[in-house]
Amino acid sequence: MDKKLQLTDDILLSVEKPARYLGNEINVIHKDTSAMAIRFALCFPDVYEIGMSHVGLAILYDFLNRREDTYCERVFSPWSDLEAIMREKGLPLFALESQDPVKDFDFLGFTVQYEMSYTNILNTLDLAGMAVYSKDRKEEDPIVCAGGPCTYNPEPLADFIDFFYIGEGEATLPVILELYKAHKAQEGTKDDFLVKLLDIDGIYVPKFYDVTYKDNGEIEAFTPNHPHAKPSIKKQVVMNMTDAPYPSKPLVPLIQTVHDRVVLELFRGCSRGCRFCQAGMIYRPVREKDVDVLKKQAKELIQNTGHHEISLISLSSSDYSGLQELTEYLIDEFGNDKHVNLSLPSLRIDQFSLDIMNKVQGVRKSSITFAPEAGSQRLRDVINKGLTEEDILNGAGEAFQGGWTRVKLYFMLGLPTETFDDIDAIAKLGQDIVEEYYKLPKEVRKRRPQIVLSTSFFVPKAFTPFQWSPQNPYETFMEKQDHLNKKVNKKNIKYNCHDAKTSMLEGVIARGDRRIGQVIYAAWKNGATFDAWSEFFRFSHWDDAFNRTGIDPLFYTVRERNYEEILPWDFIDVGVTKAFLYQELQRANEGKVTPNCMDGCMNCGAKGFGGGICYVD
Amino acid sequence: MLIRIKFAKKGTMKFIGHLDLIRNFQRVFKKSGFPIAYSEGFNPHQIMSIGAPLSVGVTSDGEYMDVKTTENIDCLTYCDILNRHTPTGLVIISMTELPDKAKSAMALIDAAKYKVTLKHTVITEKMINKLMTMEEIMIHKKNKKNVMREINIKPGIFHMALPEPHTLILLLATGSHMNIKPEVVLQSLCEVNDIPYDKYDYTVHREEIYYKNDQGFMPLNHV
Ligand code: SF4
Repeated sequence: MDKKLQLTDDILLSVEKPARYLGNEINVIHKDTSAMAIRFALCFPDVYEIGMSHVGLAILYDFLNRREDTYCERVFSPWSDLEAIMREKGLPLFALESQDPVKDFDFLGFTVQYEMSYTNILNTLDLAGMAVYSKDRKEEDPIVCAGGPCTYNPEPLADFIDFFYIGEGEATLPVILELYKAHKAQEGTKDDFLVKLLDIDGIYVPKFYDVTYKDNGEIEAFTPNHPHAKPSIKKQVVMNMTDAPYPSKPLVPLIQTVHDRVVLELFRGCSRGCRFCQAGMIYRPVREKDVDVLKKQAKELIQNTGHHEISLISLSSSDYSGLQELTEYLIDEFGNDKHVNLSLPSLRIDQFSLDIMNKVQGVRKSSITFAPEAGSQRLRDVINKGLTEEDILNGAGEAFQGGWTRVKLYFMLGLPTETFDDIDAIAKLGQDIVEEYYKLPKEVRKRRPQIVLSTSFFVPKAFTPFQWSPQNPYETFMEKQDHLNKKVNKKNIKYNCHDAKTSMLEGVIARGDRRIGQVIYAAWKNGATFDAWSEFFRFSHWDDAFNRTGIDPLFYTVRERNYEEILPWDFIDVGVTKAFLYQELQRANEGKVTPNCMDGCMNCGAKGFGGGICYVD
Repeated sequence: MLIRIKFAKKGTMKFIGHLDLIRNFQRVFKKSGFPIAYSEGFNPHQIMSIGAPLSVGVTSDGEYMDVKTTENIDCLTYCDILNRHTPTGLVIISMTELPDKAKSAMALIDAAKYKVTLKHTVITEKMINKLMTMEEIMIHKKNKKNVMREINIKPGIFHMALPEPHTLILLLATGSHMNIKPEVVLQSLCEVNDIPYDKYDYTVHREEIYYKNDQGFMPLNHV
């Protein structure tokens, strides 16, 4: 009955959390590996507990394993303790289900969710016993592909990945796999296969494109070097979310992960158009799932996992048209004696949401969260965050009346056009919320209010109106943070500070071109891995990498681009047009707000996908 | 209704620590529709308690957990139902109804029986005798305040036998009064006999947990 394991007992017992490496979760899928036409290693390049909490990975795992000819297995980054042992003993990186080496697979696919995981991608390739540069890999090595939000600007990873799929995996992967099966039967070379991929929409094969640069460092030309390479790569999406496959028996880890809960995806996309938000643009248009399907899924998922929590996810859950019906159903079905908690992140705080939270949270009230992003109304208009001071103060006031005493607020420092007045407004907003609390009659003020202000640093992203905008230099970020720290009245307000070094690196990679690949490589060679973990992050690895490659990070961060410049990701077509994004940038500079898609279509370009919110009257 | 569940933790389940084991049981109860009772209050949780947590790396055929249900159930039927929902390696062996005022498993435990299987180290009867005829077996152990203390584990070793050349059977004090782990005994055995101790050279399996009454050591499900 004992499962085949790659690691021996003494190794497993000498590392932290051995259960990360066993592949023995509830609902794990086991297939006869000898009978599989395609073996797919799906990698989330971070530690197990993070990767296992990511719903996108669960969706792809389920989706790929629905195919009888395919066996999709998971790969995560081994934690540093195990990595040291693997390197010392020369053990290969393996996939969890079969425990077979990654090198034996047909595909190694990365899901790329954040820039600070890039060195882990290189490390994964290396631990698997493969060359990190595509050009150096062998014919028998797996084909390496990548998808996910970061790959909408694929260029920083272009030298390491054989092909990218731009858009949602469910849309593109079946075509790729069919093609691969035919190709495998004909025993072609890896190159033959990559050439065949050029005919498929949404696929980008970097080696079939050349980039040249001007003396000033800007891109001179980005040109296909193969007759079949498309000049523009069109994002592929699933238009019918209601009928899209969704895992009904998701994996349940035997150890605690970041989120141990059932996840319901309400819709994809976002109709709000916040100008800093990449997800809000690249996932357009909004595509909702039918409420009845969600009800059915909730029931099945609780039944098949035994979880005690259901979480509704999407970019802005309050915008879901069936929210009231769904939450009422979930409270009736699972509340009270069934002991299932409902968690509702990304809800706007208003009377309706407070009512729901009152019902689900009962006596135990956790905090209320607002994400105004900017302190002043002027700046909120610049970023098109449709949340007014009145909304916040009323929401907080109602929450206080309802018995909540903890309020969290999220902001960004360094947004375009920001001045120190805007930063002062953050402190003032915190103070105004405190005062809102003291407006309550004395009898009901049982505890001191707790206001938590958190700021992150603004990183301009590709495919947003701010893709042309300068990012603040490191020193400015820290100066702004210090300024705010001094302004905050510490009596009832807590302010969380950070270091801006990783934001600066994110800024370089997010708008990086192909040359940034060398920096990532050099940083990894210097020992950078798990950069998203403060305990591992060493800026010196990166600083040295910039010096050695002669690449100036400031060229990518603080520089303002002009409209004529060829941006590294211009060849990707996400639906939303460059003209629309530029128009939005101009409106931002004029402080003009742009309506939600539900209140009026601005013809952003996403209508071309032929469905979703763009066609709702 | 109070129920004592006896279960085994085998195979890869040995890598799952105590808190995660509890979480897994919580999900098994939920999935299977087991009518487990929840506590009252702000943060209701299932009423269950596991006696004598097992160390990571150790397998067992004799683990116990007490639970409370909201209704009377047929133990045999639920034994099957629960087993359909447990992760591989976690097996419910039996379920026994407890009298209303039964002491909890946790409070009851006096001893546990372990089977230690050695790969290379050779143990002989003579070595065992050498250890067991000593008046005191002193070891260094950290107490709860993290201060090193010397304690005599001799009174906690109830029985030691060598049925086969590579198999050591140990009956050791377990629970709140005295808690002796098999690796400590093995370490002392090696030390006294001047042979090297290798913590990766053996596996430990817990066979049973006991309480003591006039008749001697009784398995916990003997009520
Ligand atoms: S085309 Fe109109 S409705 Fe559709 S996403 Fe763009 S702005 Fe919104």
